[in-house]
Amino acid sequence: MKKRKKQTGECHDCGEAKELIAQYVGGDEDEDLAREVLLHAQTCAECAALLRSLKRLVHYCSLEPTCEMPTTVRRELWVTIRREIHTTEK
Amino acid sequence: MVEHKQLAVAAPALPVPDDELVRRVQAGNNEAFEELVRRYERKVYNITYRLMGNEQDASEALQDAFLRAYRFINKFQFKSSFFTWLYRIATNVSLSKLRKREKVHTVSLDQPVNEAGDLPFEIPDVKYGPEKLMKQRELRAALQKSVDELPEDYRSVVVLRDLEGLSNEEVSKVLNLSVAAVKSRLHRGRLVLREKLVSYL
Repeated sequence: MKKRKKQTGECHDCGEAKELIAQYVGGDEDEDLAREVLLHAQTCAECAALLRSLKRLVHYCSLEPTCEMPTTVRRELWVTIRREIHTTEK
Repeated sequence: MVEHKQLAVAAPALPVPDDELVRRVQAGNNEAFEELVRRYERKVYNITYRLMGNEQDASEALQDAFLRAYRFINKFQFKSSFFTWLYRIATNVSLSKLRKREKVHTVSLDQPVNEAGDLPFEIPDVKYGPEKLMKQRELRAALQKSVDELPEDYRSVVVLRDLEGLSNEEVSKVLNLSVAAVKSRLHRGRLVLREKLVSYL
């Protein structure tokens, strides 16, 4: 990856970096990849913000609790299933 | 003389593997199917709820998914795990219902609606911000709303991968996509979510 301009906080060619950030946040466990992403993020404010926000997004998603299945939904499901089973058994 | 009696301690019964239950259903044992429903009803409801975005549609998709699984279980050939097969059915049923629902929505969107200034969710005021719990609720609602607004291809990947916690490989099997395609859609979906949730991130 090319050197980025630190003073402006912008990349001339962020495309490659963004792909790598996607791989990194996507869970690809590769030390070289991690090193490259983190080094680049230190020199590019835009990519650093992207990395930070994507990591937070994934974290928030992982904290999402399992939806509670309402009793009525469960009851309707079982009525449907048992009716179907009963029909096929006849 | 002390008599040593060996006490027979009943070991906890191991759960019957999914594949065995499927074989029993294929042989005509309907109780085995009920066990599979009990095992997966909550997980499948989660997927249908995340994809459909409301309880009523999620409930219909949930019922349809299990009905289809029951009707076609004889065609299950054990080439994948049962849950992958079931998740695929649930995802396909939900996406199919979504397509129908979106067609209905298209008609209503044709009517003049003033969208100006209509933000996808309210941006929290930091100075007078609500309590942490309130913020969490807001974020949760905003997240679900943003997921609802994702294009279908991205939504299914984001729901299965980020909200349901499946691996890239599992998602690829459920959606019948390559792992590379899953990663690509996931990244694009996340970028869209990031735009929508920018004030929370």
